[in-house]
Amino acid sequence: MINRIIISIIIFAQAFSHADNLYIPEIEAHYNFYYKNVKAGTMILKVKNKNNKIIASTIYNGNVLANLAGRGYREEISYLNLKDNKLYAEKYIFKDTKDNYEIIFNRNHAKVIKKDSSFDLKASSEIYDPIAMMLVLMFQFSEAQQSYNVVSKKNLKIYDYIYKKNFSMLVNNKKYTGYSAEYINDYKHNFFFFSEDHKNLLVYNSIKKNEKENLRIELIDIKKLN
Amino acid sequence: MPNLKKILYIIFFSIVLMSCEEKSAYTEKKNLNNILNKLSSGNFYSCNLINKNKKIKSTLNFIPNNNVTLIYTENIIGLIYDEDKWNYGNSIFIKDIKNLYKYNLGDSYSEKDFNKKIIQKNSVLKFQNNILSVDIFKESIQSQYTCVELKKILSEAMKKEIVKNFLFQKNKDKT
Repeated sequence: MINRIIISIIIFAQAFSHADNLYIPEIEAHYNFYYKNVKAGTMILKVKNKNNKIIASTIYNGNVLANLAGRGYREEISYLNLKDNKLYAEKYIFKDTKDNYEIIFNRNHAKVIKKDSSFDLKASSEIYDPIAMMLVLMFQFSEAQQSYNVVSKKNLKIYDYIYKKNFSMLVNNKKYTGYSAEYINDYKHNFFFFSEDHKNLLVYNSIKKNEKENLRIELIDIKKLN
Repeated sequence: MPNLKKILYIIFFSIVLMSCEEKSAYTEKKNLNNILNKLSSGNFYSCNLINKNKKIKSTLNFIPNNNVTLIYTENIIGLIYDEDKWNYGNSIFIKDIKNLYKYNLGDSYSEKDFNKKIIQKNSVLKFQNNILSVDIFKESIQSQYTCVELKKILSEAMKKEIVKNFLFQKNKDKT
């Protein structure tokens, strides 16, 4: 009898330890974005989670200035898979007024597909798209690596991140406490800030070149976060 | 003496070259091309709507543009936006002779060349102290905007790119 109880406890414990306890909330967050410190439009971030299949999207809708920054209209959709408490990029779709392509991911391999051509990208470890990367920083921050392989504008890049924890930032006249992640790519300094009080939601993002701000994104409204 | 002649030649040609105004060929429509060249040397502003009132749509049946790009010159103002009552995405306003800050809607240039003599007084724009008031949806119902000058942000090439928006006045012609 005691043996049976012990075996049951072991089986239960094993089953529990394999459960996916990384929680990805449903999100709809609205942001303002600024080009060289002048308001240039809005960005909407949406995240949906259905049976550990995650769909995350960002849609930029901007004015004439945003057009100059290449974000007049831009839609990015990332499809991710949550397995063994880890996010894996599966598919990414990019659309704007000039370009349109899709990327299919298979761990350290990515296939970039355009209308009439395709090519492969390979890395030594997992490859992510920019939206999947943002979700990794939001929801897997406790296990964040120093560097990640990211496909940006169809090119494979290695982003070396610097993280800072436990500090506050004033964004759109509201104080947020959380952590930041930053990296330098093509002489551009990319900075992200996430709020711990809002399930690690992205609150602020800036891109600077030669210490001058090119682009800034600020949270203005959370429509859904649960 | 021959040296003096050379110097005089150089001075003469320099004056001729300096007096030549650099003009871009945006379009074959001659008058519109002149206007666009004037606009590209104007002052560029980004304007955001004051008091976003969601009730406007239900009461007045239109949603004002949230953001408008304004190009200011002394006698003409160019406006770039998403929509107006004619389904245009941009318009040119001509200065009212009697009022310092008032501009009247100019001619349409979607299908023919711009005619400076045609002035439509049913749509009025006012621009004073970086505040823009304009009625492009309903006559005499003004939407108000605060404007920021894009002084150091835009290069000459960027300005020209913005001015190219006026090549397609109707929204349906843009794509």
